[in-house]
Amino acid sequence: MSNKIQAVAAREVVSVVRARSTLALLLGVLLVTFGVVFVSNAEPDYLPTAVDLLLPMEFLVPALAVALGYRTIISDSTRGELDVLATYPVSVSRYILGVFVGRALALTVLLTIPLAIVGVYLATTSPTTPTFLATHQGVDSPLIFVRFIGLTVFFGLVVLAMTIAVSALASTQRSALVLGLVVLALVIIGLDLLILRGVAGGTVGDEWLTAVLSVSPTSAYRGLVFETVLSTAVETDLQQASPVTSAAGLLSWLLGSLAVATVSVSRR
Amino acid sequence: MTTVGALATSNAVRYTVIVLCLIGFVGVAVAFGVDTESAQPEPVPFDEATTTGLASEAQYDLAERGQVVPRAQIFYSQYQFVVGYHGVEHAIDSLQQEGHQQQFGYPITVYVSDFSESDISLSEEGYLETDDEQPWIDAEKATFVVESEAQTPTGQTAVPFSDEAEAEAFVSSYGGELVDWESLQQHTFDVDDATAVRERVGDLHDMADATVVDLRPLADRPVSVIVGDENTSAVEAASLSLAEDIGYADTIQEGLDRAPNETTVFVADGTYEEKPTIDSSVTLAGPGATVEGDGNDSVIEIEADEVAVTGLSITGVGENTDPAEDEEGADGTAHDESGHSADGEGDDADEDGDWDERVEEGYGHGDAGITAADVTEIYVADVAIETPTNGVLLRDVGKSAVERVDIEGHENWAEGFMGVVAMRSPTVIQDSTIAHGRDSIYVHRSHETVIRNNTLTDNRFGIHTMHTSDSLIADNSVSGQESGGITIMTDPAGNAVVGNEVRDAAAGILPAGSRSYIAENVIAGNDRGMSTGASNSLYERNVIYGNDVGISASSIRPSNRVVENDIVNNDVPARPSTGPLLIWTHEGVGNYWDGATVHPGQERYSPSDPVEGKLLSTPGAVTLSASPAAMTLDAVRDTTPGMREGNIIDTAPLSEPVNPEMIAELEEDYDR
Repeated sequence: MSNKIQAVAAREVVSVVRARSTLALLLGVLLVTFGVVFVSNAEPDYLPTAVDLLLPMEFLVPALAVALGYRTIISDSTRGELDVLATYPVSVSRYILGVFVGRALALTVLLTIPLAIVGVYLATTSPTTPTFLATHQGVDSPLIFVRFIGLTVFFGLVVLAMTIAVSALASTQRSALVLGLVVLALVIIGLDLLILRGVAGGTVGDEWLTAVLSVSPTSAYRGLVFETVLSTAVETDLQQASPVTSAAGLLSWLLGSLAVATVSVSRR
Repeated sequence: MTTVGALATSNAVRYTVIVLCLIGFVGVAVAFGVDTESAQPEPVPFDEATTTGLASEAQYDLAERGQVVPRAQIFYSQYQFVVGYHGVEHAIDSLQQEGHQQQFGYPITVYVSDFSESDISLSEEGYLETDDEQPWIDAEKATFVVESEAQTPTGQTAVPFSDEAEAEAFVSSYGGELVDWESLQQHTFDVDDATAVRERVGDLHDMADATVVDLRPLADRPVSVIVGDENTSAVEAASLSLAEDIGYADTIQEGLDRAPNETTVFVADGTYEEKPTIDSSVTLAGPGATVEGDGNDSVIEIEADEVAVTGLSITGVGENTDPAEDEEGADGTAHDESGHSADGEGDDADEDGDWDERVEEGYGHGDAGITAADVTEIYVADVAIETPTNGVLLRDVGKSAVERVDIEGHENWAEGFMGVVAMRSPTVIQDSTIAHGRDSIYVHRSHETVIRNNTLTDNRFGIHTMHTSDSLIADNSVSGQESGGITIMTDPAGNAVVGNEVRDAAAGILPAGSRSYIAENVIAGNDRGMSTGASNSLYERNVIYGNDVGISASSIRPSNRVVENDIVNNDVPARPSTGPLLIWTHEGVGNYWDGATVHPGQERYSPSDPVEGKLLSTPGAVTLSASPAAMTLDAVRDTTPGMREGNIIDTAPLSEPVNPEMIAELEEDYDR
């Protein structure tokens, strides 16, 4: 990574850490994560905990990504810092990448800390079972939970990139917020609603469903969790998603969003 | 500058961050690259597995005779307990059950008994006989012999071998064919389930009818001796015929001694202070007579086949309940039942006696109004007994029926004993009234016993059975028990509990064992309504009303079908137990829970949920249960059910009660 990207990224990290709202975000994520784990009365095993966390994460992760990302470019722009940066030898693409990397680090830490604490809790807690009966682990392994954390962070990065793109497209702070909320609505339910309509109306043929699901970041994330986490314990004849196209779908959203952001800032 | 600010300037900090990111990235990549399948688990000692497939009595009997069944143990992907199967056929049958995979996950590893090293022969019934222990072998590596002469007490089985040559040798001796694990799983074994028990309810009623029809003529024998009076009008009043030759006696014993076989000794009205023994095939009748013992021993002893006792009142029964009272005291409390657990192994086999010797001594030898032992074709009817101990005691009686008896036990159950005891005596007990005492009816190792239409009140257990399989408990009215209305103990199979009404007891119906059919009972006003202690069983169309706890789940292995029950007005509708989530819905049909009607059209209801269980009783519960948070939790709950702790879910609760008339009646009775 070039020093210039690092410099921009470091600047982003510093601004995230200095903002009081970051602590509030961390507390929010902790609250939701622990709340779900302790209320769901799953056995203290990795797999059921991951299953329980999946749905809340589909709401929480996009919200967190939008909160972290919607102001990035637009605030640089409105404060005139973009103009200042233009005098430095930093290309727009490196600037965008730096912003993304910096915010991505923050997002990763905010998601990983609570999930890692849950992981440690699971690793140190054993289920309450009568001692006179033989028990075993079933299919369960910390690797399953690491996969879940990895997928969740990846999902977060995708939504973050989308948010940075709309932040670059926005002309004012307020429009950035509105566009951020639009991204949130689209990611959480909008795209999935479209797919549901498509399946119900017959526009999405059965043979295309897994491919179409890859287009919705949330469905792609959910499909990846089903295929790489849940599938370890449940044998199904039907594929729940195509892991490759799902991963490709998420990656396309990420790269495409960064490209949009780059083009948009270049044109300012 | 803060440490945060250092990020912007210090290379060391930057590199640390980059390295940490790389480590995290590689870690996640590894997590995806590595196969999560853990190492194959080692087989566990069979008695530590959660076992199923064979009643514990059958297990004891086999062990005593040196016979074995091919066992299996399965480690499921979603179920933390190792499941042991007495009989490979039961393992296969379980794997073929609809919904099994949803509840347990797929089998990670299956072990089966390896007979390659065993010296085997087959008994007459086809049971495997060997003195050798069978080691465990991975089922994938075994060769199975199916369709051979080899049997278990529950039917045809598959015999596993690690060595194919040994398997072929077995086939050449006992027939059958060789299959591998893959094709064995497609093989169909004729394993009875609880629906077969439902089909048998009618047969058991017919069988009981036939027994009673067979035995009733014993009460119709011509009178050959009249005791206490020379007037024959009482005989005619009792619509009995007279023998050609009629004798008279002063005491009952004298009359019994004088009467020829297959005649009746008629006792005229009055009180007779004696303890007669019946040692020939005669009938003792006396609708207005009272036989009064001296407070020691049994009052009437039956020592011959084809004997009937009808229409007497019996008092003065002895107070001893134990043949060896010097050793353990006379109250019987030193004896402990084997507990009430779903998969309990029961009492330990006694070293020198039969494995149930202690229970037999404790429950089978006390004093009684009428005692019959080691005889057959005994008929007791219309007798009234007042007893501090047992009323009617049947021990090793081949065929018998007890009907329309009226037994009054000890006011304080702890001091009293059983109304009717059947020990190794399959019998019919019907239309009787039994109050107070310890257990109204106690049945031990008496398979195919039918207990119906009795009224049993105010004692410890109304009906209490141990090691008794394939029996029918029907249409009894049971109430006011200190411990349990209808309590089935140990680990029997194939019992039906149908159409009983159990009220105001500490516990209503507590079944145990497996393959049982618990249906159409009315269970109301008890501390605990019903448990699901019997596994592989069917609980349907019961009305469970106004109990402190409606149903308590108490089977560690989810194998029961609980459907079409009406669960109404209970403080807690259902309480889960240790073990995984239970789904009480079958083929889209659930139960009627009054709490599930709060949100009309509700798609799933969890009676064990702390909020949903209180929808009708706690202000605010409805508001809370409609929150997105509650609904989100609901939605994830029935995924990976095997890994979820004690919870009960009905995925298709009924919107209308199955038995509204009964509920209306109960509402009136309990004034709600």
